Amino acid sequence: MEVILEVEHPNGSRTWHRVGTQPLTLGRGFSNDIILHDPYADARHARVRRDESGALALEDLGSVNGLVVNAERLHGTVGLQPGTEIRVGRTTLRIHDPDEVVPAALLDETPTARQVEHAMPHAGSPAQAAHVRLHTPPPRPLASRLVATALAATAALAMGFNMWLGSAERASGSSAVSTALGFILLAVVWAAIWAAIGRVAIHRFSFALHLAVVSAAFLVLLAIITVQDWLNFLFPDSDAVTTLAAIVNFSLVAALIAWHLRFSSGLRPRHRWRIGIMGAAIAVGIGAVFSLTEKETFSDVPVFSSAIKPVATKWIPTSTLEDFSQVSRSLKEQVDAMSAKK
Amino acid sequence: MLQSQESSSAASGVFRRFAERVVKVQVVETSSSAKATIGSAFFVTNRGHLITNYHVVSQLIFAPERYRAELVEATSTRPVAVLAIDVVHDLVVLGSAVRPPSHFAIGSNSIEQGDRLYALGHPEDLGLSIVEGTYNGLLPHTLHPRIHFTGSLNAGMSGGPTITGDGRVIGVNVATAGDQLSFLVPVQRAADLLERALSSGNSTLPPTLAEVGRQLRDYQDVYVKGMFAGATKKVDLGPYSLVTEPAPFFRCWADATRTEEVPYEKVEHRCATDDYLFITGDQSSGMVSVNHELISSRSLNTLRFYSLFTGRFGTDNTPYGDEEHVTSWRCGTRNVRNSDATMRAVLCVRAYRKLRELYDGVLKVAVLGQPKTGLVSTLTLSGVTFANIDLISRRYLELISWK
Repeated sequence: MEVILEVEHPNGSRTWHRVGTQPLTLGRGFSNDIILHDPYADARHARVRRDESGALALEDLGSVNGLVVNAERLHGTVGLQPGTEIRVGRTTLRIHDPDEVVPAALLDETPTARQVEHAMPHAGSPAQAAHVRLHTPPPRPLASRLVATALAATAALAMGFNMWLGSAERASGSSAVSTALGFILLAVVWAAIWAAIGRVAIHRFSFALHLAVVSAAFLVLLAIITVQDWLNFLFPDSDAVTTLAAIVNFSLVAALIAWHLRFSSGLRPRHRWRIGIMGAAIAVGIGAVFSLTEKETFSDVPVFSSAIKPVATKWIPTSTLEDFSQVSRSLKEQVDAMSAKK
Repeated sequence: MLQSQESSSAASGVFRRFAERVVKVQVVETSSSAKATIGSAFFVTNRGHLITNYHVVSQLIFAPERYRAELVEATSTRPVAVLAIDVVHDLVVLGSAVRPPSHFAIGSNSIEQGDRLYALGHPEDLGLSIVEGTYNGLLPHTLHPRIHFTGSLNAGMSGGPTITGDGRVIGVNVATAGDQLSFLVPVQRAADLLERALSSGNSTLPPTLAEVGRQLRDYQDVYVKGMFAGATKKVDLGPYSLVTEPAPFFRCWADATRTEEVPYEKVEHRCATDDYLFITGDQSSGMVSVNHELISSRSLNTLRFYSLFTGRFGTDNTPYGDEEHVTSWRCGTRNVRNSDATMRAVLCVRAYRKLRELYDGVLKVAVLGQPKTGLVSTLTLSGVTFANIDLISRRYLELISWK
């Protein structure tokens, strides 16, 4: 059996050693297999050996400070199972399973690294190297924080304002404020989830960037809803408007996912968009199933587009009363079909 | 004191003389033998013909395979069959093998307001009772005649007779609005239906759903055709000129709301018929209503006012519907222009599942073009043919105009 021995030195640096086949010694002295940079460690502090049953164990060699396990100092032997943590002086030893999974490599986006990678085949040709397109460096934390705060505040204000416009109660100010606060809460939780994903996947907790992404998406959504409302008013029951709205909403969801992935994964753009489109397709699929079931379920409440907008009547495209009779005939066909189905 | 004693002794005399002519009928679910409805009925021939309300036996018409009707005697029950129906007046003629010792002879009668009447029936399944009251004439504003009876009819007395002290039937107990306000179907309708049942003899099949549907279609055709035709009455509401009282059998009333809680004012003008028809437990029909709602605001800005306008326009005020009897609504929306006004119009339609060619229709109209004043007008038609929905909506849309 083998284990990986992680050594965290008092200065914070870490080294990893494969332990298994032969006995090893640990200590400050240069004759040791693993040399500890720690004034609290003995010159020959401890050694790794197999115990009677053949399992790996760490044995104290009569050191001054001994081995500390679970805040208890001892001068004996400690078994080395994955997950064990032992202090030797001020050095921390951690035992890992050799099969432990490590995260994927990070994409190095610093300009020099990119330049070298692309310029490699033409090394020595500065003219060629100059043509290599540089990747934008990750935004500086302060700038992204400012942008995120501004976007989130704008989105919250827009939501609140929209709420206020859509309500005709005396006390609509308070519902506007609660809508804005509700949005901020939702956006913060959402951004935190994506940032946590980024922390796990690429060791980067980009909360501000994710907050900026979700706020921008909500601003766009608000714009889409407003435009759609107007189109529904001007062109009622229009299949073109419905289709357009579906496409735009689909794109918004895909873009939202792709941008979150941009800041929380090491995926290439093409893969990010592929996942975004898949996510949007799933969302649209679920929506379609819901609306179909709703259409099939009996209800004695009619559903119709009730949007009315303030606009001079000369700008409103109108139908004649004959056209309206056409509409009613198509309704008859629909309800007759439903009635016959039973 | 003396008078009340006198009248109560009169009532007991009436009860003694005529009680045997009034029976209890019940509709029973065949499989469970559970009583579905109970009501009263009375003999009108010596060959066992009875009159009762359509609504007492409607389940039998809708699901003859699941129900049976019977006449309840002291110790036993006797089967009865429906021979003829009149959905509009809520009457049926029943046939039975009973040969009653005596029966009421029905036909036209003369009676004056204030005359004393006695209603007989089985209230709440408690045994035959007699209720004293007075005749108060025919109800105004109804499409089909109803007698206003001042007395307390109770559930279960439906279908029983209301008679004079000397045993002349004046009407058939049909409905109550509580507080001694009760309604009777004039006996002449029952006499007509009996004549129809007797003349057709035993050759015809019992009336079915198709017959109910046919009667409803004939009924609506008569009253709907006349609505909004010719010189239509109009009413001014804000800057709008609108239809009112589509026909003489409509009643109209108005109401205004100005409260501190909402930053807008609402004025309503509403017309409706009192004549709704009972079809079966979960379905009624024949209602027609016109509802104009004027909203205006000085304190809201235009965008917020239009949110309010949209909300009022989208408010659902359609009649109740049950899945067994009607389909879901389907709606179509257009912005339309008549000779005067630009409007947003929505027509919603649903079909009756069991009664062919009958529909409910709701037309909603919002008159556009004013920054802080809006009108939402709703026309509701129930139990009418599609052709009539089309015709009446068209007339309705044509008649909306500016003052």
